[in-house]
Formats: sequence, structure tokens, C-alpha cells
Amino acid sequence: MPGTLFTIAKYERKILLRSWFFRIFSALTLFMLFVFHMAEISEVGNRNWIFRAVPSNIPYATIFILNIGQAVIAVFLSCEFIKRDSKQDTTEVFYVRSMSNASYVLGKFWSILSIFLLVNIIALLLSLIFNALAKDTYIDWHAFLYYPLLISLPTLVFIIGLSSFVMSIVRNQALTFVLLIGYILSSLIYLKSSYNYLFDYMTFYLPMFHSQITGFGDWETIWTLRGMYTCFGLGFILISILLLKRLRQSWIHNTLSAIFAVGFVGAGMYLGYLHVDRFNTSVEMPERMISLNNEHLSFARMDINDHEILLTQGEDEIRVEATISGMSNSESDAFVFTLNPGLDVHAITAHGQPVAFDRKLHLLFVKFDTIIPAGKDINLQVNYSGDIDLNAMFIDVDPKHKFERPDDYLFDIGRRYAYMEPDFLLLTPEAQWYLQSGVGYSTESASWFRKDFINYSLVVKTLPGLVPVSIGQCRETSEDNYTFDLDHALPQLSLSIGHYQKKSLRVDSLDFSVYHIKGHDYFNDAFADIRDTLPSIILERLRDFERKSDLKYPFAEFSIVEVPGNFKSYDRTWTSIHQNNQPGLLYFPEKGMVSRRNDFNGSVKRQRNWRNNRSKTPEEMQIMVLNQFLDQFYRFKIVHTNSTIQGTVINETINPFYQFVQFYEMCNNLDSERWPVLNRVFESYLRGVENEGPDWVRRNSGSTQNELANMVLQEKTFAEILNLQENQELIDNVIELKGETLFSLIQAKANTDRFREFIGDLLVETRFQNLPFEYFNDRLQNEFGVDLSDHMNQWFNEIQLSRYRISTPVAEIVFAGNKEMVRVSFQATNEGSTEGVIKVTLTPDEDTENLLYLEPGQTKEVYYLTSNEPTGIHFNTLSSGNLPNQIEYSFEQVGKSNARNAVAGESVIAEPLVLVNKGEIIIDNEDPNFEFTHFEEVSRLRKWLKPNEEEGFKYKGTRVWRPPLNWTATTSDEFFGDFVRSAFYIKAGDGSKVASWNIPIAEPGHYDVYYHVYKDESFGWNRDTRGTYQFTIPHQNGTDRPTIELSRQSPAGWTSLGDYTFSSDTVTISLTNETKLRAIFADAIKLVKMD
Amino acid sequence: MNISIQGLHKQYPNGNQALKDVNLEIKEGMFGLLGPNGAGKSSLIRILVTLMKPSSGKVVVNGHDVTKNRAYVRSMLGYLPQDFTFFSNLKTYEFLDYAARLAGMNSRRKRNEAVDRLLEDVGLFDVRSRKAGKLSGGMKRRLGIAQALINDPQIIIVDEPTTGLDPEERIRFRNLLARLGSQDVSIILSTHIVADISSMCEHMALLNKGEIAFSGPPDELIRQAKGHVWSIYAAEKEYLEVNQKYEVVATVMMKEGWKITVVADEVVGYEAEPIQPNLEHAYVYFVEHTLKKIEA
Repeated sequence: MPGTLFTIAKYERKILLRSWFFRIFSALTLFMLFVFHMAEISEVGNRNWIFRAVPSNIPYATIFILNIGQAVIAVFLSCEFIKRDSKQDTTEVFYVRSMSNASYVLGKFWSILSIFLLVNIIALLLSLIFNALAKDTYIDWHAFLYYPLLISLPTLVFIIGLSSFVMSIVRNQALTFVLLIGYILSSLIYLKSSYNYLFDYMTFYLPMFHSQITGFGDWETIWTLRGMYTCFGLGFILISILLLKRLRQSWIHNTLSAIFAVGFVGAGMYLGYLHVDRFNTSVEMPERMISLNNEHLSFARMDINDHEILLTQGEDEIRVEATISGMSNSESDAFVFTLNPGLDVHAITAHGQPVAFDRKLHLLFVKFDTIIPAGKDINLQVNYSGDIDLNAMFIDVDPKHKFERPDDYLFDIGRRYAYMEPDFLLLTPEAQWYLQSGVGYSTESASWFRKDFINYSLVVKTLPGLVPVSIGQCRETSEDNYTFDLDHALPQLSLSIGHYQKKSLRVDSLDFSVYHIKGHDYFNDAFADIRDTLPSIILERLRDFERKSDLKYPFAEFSIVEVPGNFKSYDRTWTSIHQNNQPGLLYFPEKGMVSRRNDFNGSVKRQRNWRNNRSKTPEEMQIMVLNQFLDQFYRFKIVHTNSTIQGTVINETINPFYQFVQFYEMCNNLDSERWPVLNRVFESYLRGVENEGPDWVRRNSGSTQNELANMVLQEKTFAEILNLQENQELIDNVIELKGETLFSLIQAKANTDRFREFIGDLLVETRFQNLPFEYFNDRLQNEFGVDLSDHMNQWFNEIQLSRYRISTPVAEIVFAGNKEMVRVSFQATNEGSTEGVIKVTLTPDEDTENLLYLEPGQTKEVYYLTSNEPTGIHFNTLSSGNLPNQIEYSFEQVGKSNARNAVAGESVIAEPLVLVNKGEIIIDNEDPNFEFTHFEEVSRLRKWLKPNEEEGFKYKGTRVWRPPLNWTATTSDEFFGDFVRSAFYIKAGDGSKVASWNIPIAEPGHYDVYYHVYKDESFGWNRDTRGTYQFTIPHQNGTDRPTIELSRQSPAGWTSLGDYTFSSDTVTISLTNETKLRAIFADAIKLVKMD
Repeated sequence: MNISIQGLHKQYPNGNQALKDVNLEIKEGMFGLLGPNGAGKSSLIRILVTLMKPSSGKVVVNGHDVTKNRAYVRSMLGYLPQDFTFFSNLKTYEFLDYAARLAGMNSRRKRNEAVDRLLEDVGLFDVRSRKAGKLSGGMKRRLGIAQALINDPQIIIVDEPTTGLDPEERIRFRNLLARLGSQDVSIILSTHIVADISSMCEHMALLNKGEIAFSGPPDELIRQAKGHVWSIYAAEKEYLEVNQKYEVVATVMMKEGWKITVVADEVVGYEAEPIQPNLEHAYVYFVEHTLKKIEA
């Protein structure tokens, strides 16, 4: 049989190799791979660091790209093969030869498989050459073997098997194509990573990243799924033998085929079952844990003061002897703790006496014989051991979110939350590897989260040759025994153990350390020319940040600790602490693979490509690269963009490496039982809202995240938003906005520059301990007479809407004393129902921020004096009814005033600011008298693909490069509007889509008609942009069709459409979408009565 | 070599009875299978080459039941189906080499020799490196014959082999088969071209509507037609009458009328003389007279 099999394979392979279809596929794929390698791996291209830092990613990427193609092309080739067989006369001459059906089918199967494997080998050779030529990396030979074996082979076996099987049954090539391509598209578009990648036969979603420290992130899933697909593929092939339309020759072969087919399909089903079972456990466990937490939310707990941990590392477990002491927080005979359900508690003693206990998953109930009164000291010794159950981590994170494929890289790096390998261990608080008092995450109430500062003591016995890293000074007390000396109470504790080596430098009593895995010190010579100045540069950056935030770095050391690249943490609502951040240390992915700014040599090379940098000295270049590296620790958010059919979706996530947490969350805690979120809110105020949303974000998505958060806050209370499942992606922004609004309001009411100083002093005073809200409020009252508790209930439970009307600001040169200065003046009215505050900044002097406090209904006239001539003024209305909530004015020219002795200040004026002057009628697009023709312009395909597509927010982005087909609301501070500065816009067309303003005319007569022109960004791109707005104005003497010609030079704002006599009580002015411009904006019409 | 076909029946799922109680004994040499279209020739051949199972009855080759021991029959079989397209991407010699390897020729040297020899025999040596898809119709047919003959099969079954061949190729093919037929080989030639059989076969069977209507040497069939084949000299006006009255086998235009060859038990009213029948005449006589009489 083997002889015949290989003969068939040999000649069928020849036939395939000579087919143009296959040749074109191979050539295109190899060309694409060549381009990819040139762009991403070669010295002339991008030098993408993720591939060089972890070189197994080079063959991974190669096989990943190739596999997408071959997973589809194999379907065509397999079907083509079977089709040829169905043309009976063609193959009958072979069918009458002496060979078994098994030899024939397996021969054909091997021929297809082998030619694809040949392409794999060529692709890998190409990859190997680029890998060998690439600098600052090495060749991971094993990866060149296991990636084709784990990705290509199972994919090909499965899809060839499935194609043969379906074709054998359906016996119609076209129908088989439809079925299989449908299956492939379903797996890619709909099923994606559902059931933990169960349907992902081509590993498009399944993370296969292989860490150089710990290997695959989830090896069990990988081998189960890849094994399953291989088994199914082989099973299908064997079934195809039985379905072959040829009289069998060998009953032995056929019987064996049947037996093996049942065996392989059975094995595939079993592996699938194992996988689904694991998946169900991973989904159910968090649900069960949350349910238990909800149930025991009010269970008595202990306030832990001291916590000693003696940890012994095993090959696949940890053994811990813990001693905790503290006091009961309520009267009870039982207290609840949490501990990872993978850890088994063996014994608990109190003062040497055994204590009864009970376990419900992660909950540990310690049961005393007698009632313990509240405030009584408790001292417990707990022995436990075991592994970490990863399913018990991040139970609050939606499983869908956990399996989402990020678009950051070509492939999904995957996610792992804790490690317990013989060579590497990483345990963060999220792993619940030490006893924590109370229950964990609850959906019932946010009260489960109470941060405690605890005096930890940690003693670690590692496996031979490994080094532990945790917070504090580490002493090796005997071989493999280490003690960590911690100076103060901490909110959390973590531990990593590995083949660590330490590089450190001490500056100004601060220890900066890098703990890297042996051999990963690629950065050693990166800053050779600035070795002496390196410490001071790092320190200076730190001090800068301290100055900016008015807070001091609280620890004596800062360590960057290398961890596997797939270590993952998620944003939380109740804290900005990522698991990457621990007190005084940061877990950083292996060799900083996630960003090319960690590729120091590459960064120097890239910078050299810029003309401006060519003359820079090596020292200057290295300083620049060092600063780029340090930047990532001072950047709060990461902006992700995702282009969809509806436009670009912007998603902001907290940068897990952002170090502001060290300055506040790791050392302070504003503790409120009633409003636990207050701590987060306070933190965001201290951090200060970065002026997020670079222009392109707003241009692409239409609104910044903060604007969207503001829209949400106009409809829901803060309490509701925190509890709702929808708009979770905006929670951070809502918290920021609420925080900034609340504390800015307090600061404005305190009316003193000392506010921030006071806060700074208070935080130092309460460092490494809780700051109870009541105490904080008392201090505020004493210091500034502001009672925060007055605001809290409304702030939390009511929709607070202050709405501001702001007059056009005026800048003029005045004399203040003897000095010539520029005075900027404007009026503002708060038309809302609640007090509010506006942050006003004059540009370019952005560091000076003025707070303007306005009570409901209050109008103020405001004067600022500045010695620098301002180019503009920026109003940030924070959480308010204004859309957009940030308004910018540019001063075209600064006038001259005769004013002498001008002073800065604000005064309350009685007359509220009005938008419409006497004799004017303005109809804006927000007015009910504005209407437009509506068409349903959604393609059938899109409806079919996304039947439940959500409407989302009313206001969409202003995408001039791809305008909408329907009139769509959008906002900009350049539109006309009272509180909402909006317009409707539409793609230019044939004039069939019309917007109309029905203007009530109280008094017939002669009117000047104006239109509020908005000039979109296309006028900025292209100096030749020009086009016409076409209006229809019916008047007493007929109908006129005036136009407004727009060009780069033409002005924006109110533009005349001429003067008309109107006799009727309503005049309808309309605007069509017929224009040469890309889009038409329908904003506002103004009528001014002529005397 | 002994092929014994015993009580063979074949009924298709659509109810069509393709073969009815077919019994035949086939020895070495050329055996012709003659019959009109739809007579059941292809069904019989597909059963013989193990592509199809009979509904009942059996085919025994040298004492081995074909249904039970397909490997035995397949190992000694060479088969050329009626319509045959090639893997167009294989070169001529590769195609033959593939067939040779499947036919059990494991030795590369012997295979190469056999392939070259056969290519010579069928006149394709000069185009041995040309892709099969680029061969002319006749060349393709010859390549088909070559693959059927590779590794000296004991049983060669060819279905309508000369269809589409020009006269020269047809003669070359007949000679090739005749040479093989003289060896210890059974060649079964299914055809509706009587001349193929008359020039090559020592034995033949005539299939009609799934049944063996005649089995024996071609001479026996000819003998049965003796005295029933006439040459009529017809004047212009008689020509149509003759055509309506008799089964015309051939018509030759003469100076003063027509010379028409007909099969009939007797000819009355025309200037006619009996002539020596050939196999074609015999075939027509048998199908048009003997079988119709039996059916009547």
C-alpha cells in the first residue's frame, strides 16, 4: 500500500504543482511574505520590535499569513481533485488498477498536503534568511518547527479532509464551494473566538504567541483544538475513502479505514468536548464566584493590619504559611476571606488552637467557637497550597471582552493573568494568592471594594537557582531563601520568581532597577554614551512629573520587572491600578516587545532617518531615545482606532504602564463606604484630565470620548452609569469628567490658589493609610468652608446640567497701570439648573487655567489680563449641557481700547446673555422648525450582516472624506447653536435631499437673510476646494434660488443670502445637497428685519 | 486464460435491465463484442473491469470470482474506456510511467524500458515530453491504448477503440492488438464497427438488448447469412422501391442504374443474384432478420 500511495501522491503532486491556480497562489503568497519581511523585519523596513524581541514571532507571522491563504486555497484544490474523479472516464483507467481505495484517497490527500507543506518550507526558508540577517535578535529554531506543525498541519489536514468529505457527499463542486466558503467566512466573521476559539480552524484568532520565558500562554487550549482539528481532518479523509465511488479492493483497508475514521472523529469529538467543558468552566466559575460574593457581601470581615507570608515554591504549586492579625469589623463568630479556589487550605489555627473553616470556591469562612465582638484582635495562622485557577481572575470582565482580538499586532498575543511554571512564577493580587479580607467583586454593590493598607512581610523559598522579585529590599538569608523588607503598609502585594538578573542605579536616594530574565539584557549598551547622565535624566523626568502633578513619588525604589509578553491586565471601573503596576514596581512585557520605542538601537536608527536628527551627536540621540522610552510611563491613555464600515471607532484604554498610580493609588486612598468610586474620582482630579483627543481623533470619530461621556451624563445619573452594562467603554471618561467637575467646582468655590497645595499636604499626611471621606470633608470645611457632603448626593444621583451661553470673546490692548497688556473679556450665563464651573485657558499660555464659577441663572462679565498676546481662548464646560463641551475661539485681530487701569476679574451682571438680538429670527437645525428629507440608505448586505446594528449616539462624527448618505447630526464649536452647536450634514448629490427651515414671520416685511456657513476641513487640505450652497427662498414676488460660493478664501459664519419681502406667516427656506463640495452642512438661517 | 461469464444480470436503480442472463466463455486471443448502441456492451465491460457490480451472476477469471477477488483481476487488466481525457498537466511519458507504476511495475529501469517501448509501438516516442493535453485526438487515443497495454496485461479490454481514428491509425492499432492477441492474452474488443472484429477476432459475441444473441466464431455468423445477401441491379425508377422493400446494406451507382446490396431471405421481381456475405452483411442479416423473427 505505501508504494501505491506514494506513487499516486507523486504524480498528483506533479499535476497540482503545474496548475496555474496553485502557482499563482504560491507566487503571490511568497511575494506578500517577502514584502512583509522587507517591511517588518529587514533593516531597510520598520524593524518591528515585536518580531526581533521575541524572534519566534518571525516564523509565527510567516505561518500566520500563509495559513490564511492556504486555508482557503486548499478548499479549491481539494474540490478540484474530487471533481476530476467524478468525471468517470478520466480516472477509470486508474480505478481498474490494482490498488485499494485507501491507497488512492490517501495518496491524493498526501499529494495536496505535501505541496502545501512545500510552500510552508519555502516560506519558512525565506523567513529564516530574513531572521538570520536581522540585527539585535537571534534564530529560535524550535519555532520554525512547532508553528508549521501547530498551525499549518492541522489547518490543512482539517480543510482538505472536510472538503473531500463534503464533496464526496454533495458531489457538486459549486455547492461544495458555497458550503465551505460559507463555513470559512462564518468562522472568520461571526464565530470568531466564540467558545474559546472552538471554530477557529485557521488560528486567525487563537493566540499562539510563544513567550521566550514561559512558552505558550494557553498550551492546553492549543493542543486540544489543534488536536481536535487534526483528528476531524483525518476522520473525514478516512470517511472519504469509504465514500469513494469505486468498488473496494481490500476489505482490510476499508475496515481499517472505517475503524480509524470512527476513532479519529471520536477523538476529535472528545477533544472538542474537553475544550467546551473547560470553556464552560471558565465562564461559569466567575458567575458562581460573583453570585457567592453577592450572597456574602455583608458577611463579617476582618480588618487586617499585619500579614506575614512564608511561601515555598514548588514545581507546579506554592505552599504558604500565612499569619494574619487584625481586628473584627463587626460582631460575629465567622469571618469571610478570599483565596484563589486553586489553593487548598489545610489548616487554620488561632493562638495555637485549630479553628474550623469552610470553603465555597474562593471564599474561606473562618468559624470560631465563640462570638468575636467588633474591634477585637484576631490572629490567624493559615496553611494552604496549590495552583492558581486562572478562571477565578478578572471575574468582572465580560468573557467576550476577554476573547476580543486586539488589532495592535498581526496576531493576538493572548492573555495570561498568572504563571506558575517550574522556571517562572508570577502572582499578582488579582490571583488571590494571599488571603484578602471580605468578598471579591460584586454586582450588587460597589461596597465590596475597600482598599486596606496592610503591613506585609514576605519570606520566599524558591526552587534552586531562581530569584524572587517583590516590593521592598530583598535579602538572601540562606540558599534559595529570601526575605523582603517592607518599610510601610501597602495596598497590595505581588511576587515573581524567575531567572532574574538585576541592573540598578541609585540617584538621589532612589533606586531604579531593571529585573530582566537572564540573557534579555539587550539594553546594556543602548545608552553607552550617556551612562553618566542617564540617572539624572531619569530623575529629572520624575521630578518634572512630580511638579506637574503636585505629588511626590512615595517609594524608595522603582523597578521594572520583565514578565512574559502575554501577561495581561484589564481596565477597572473602581481603580486605575493595572495588575502591571505594583507598589514601586512595574511588570513590563518581555524585552518591551509591545512597543518599538523599547527597541533602542532601532529607535536610534529610525531617528537618524529624520533630516533634523542627522547632525545630532550620539549622546543627543540616546537622550532622545531614552526620553521616548520614558514617555510611555507618563502617558495615561492609549488610543486605539478601528476602521469599520461606519467610520473610525476610537477606543481609549488606560496605559498599563502609566505610573501616576504610584503617586496616589499605591499610597493613598480616599475611603468612602457610601461612594467607593470617590477614590477613583479624586484620583482622576489629581491626575488632571489630559487634553485628550488629538484633532484627528475628533475628525475621524466625530466626538472625543469625553464628549461622548458628556452626552451620556445628560441622560443618566452617575450612579446609573456606574451600574449599567452599556457604555462601559466610556466609564473612565465619565469618572474623569465627574471628578474634574466636582473638584473644580470645589476649587472654584474655595476661590484660592492654596487648594491644590492643601490637597498635596493632606495626601502626604495620610500616606500609606486610608483617608476617610468624613475626615477629608472636615478638613475642607475647616480650611475653605466648603462642605463636600452637600454636593455628593446630587452629584451622584441626579442628572446635573449646567448649560452655558458664552458671548464672543474680545481681545484688546489696554493699560493696566503703566503697563500695556491684553485684556480678554466675555460674558457667560449659566442657563442650567445646577451650579457649574468653566475652565478657561488663554492660548498659547496653556498652563494658566482660570476657573469660572456660575450659579444657576447667573451671568458674569469676565476680564483676564495677560502680557502675552493671546491667539485664542479655550472654554472647557466640563460636564454640562453644552455640546461640544469644549469651545475654542481664535482672535483674528487684537483691537485697541482706551481703557486705563484695566483690571482682571469677574462681576455678576443682572442682564442674562441672549443669543438672538432684537429684530432677528434665527432657526437653527436644533429647532423643531428644521426638517429634512430622510431616506433609508442602508444596503441589504449591511442589513443582513448586521441586523441589530445600534443607532448609537444622536451626533456622529464629521467625516468629510466619507460623508453619510442621510442628513446626519454632528457637532463642532464652529457651528451655530445655543448650547448644542450642531448641524446636519450629508454627502453631495443630485439635489434630491433637502433640508428646510420653516421660519415663522411674526411681522410681514422686508428682511435680510443670512446663512451660518461652516467650512469643513476639506478647505484646509486643498486650496482649490470650491463649491456652492444652493438655497430656495420663496418670497412675496416669487421664488429665488440664491447661492453661496465657498472657497478657501471665503469667510465662515453668517453670510448674506440677500434681502426679501415676506408676506406669509411662515417662510420655508431650503438647501439642497447639490454641490461640487464633498458634503453639505445644514446649520442655521437668520432673518434680520429691515426698517 | 479463461474468462467465464455466468448468468450475468444487471439492473440499474432506474429499472433499466442492461444485462439479462449473459453467459460467455472467453479464452485467449481476440474476442469481439458486437452490438447496437444500448445493447449492454458497456455494462458488461464495466462489470468485467470491476467498475461495477452485477445484480446477479458472476464473472470468473481463471477460477477467481471477480466480485470477490478484484485485486486478482485488476492486477492483470489493461483497460481503455470509450471516452478518455487525460491529466493535461502530465507529460506523455509521465502519464505512462504513472500507469506503469500503478500496474505494478516497481522497477524503475524496467518501467522506463516498457514506457519507451510502448511509446515506440504507438508512435508517440517523439512527443514523449509533450504534455498530454497538447496531443492531437489520434495521439491521445494512442496514448490511451498504450496505458492499457503497459506491463503486459493478461486481459485487455478495449471499448470502441478505433472511434475517431483515421484509417492509417486504425490499421496500426489493429496490428498492435493482433500481435498481442497471438500471445497468451485475452483481448476483449467492444465495438459497433464490424470491420474491427472481422479483421481481428477469432471469437465474438453479439449483444442485443442485454442478451447474447450470438456467440461463436465470426465465420459462423457469416455462414448463417449465406444465401441471404443479394446484389440487385436496379434501374432508376426501381431504386426507391428496393430501398423500401429490403434491408439495404450498400448501394453503388452504376452507369445505367444502381447496384444495391440487400439482406433478405429471397428477392422477387428484380434482377438479383446471391453474393458471398461478409461479417457486416451477416451482422445486419442477424439483427434485422434472425432476431426479429425470434422476437416475433
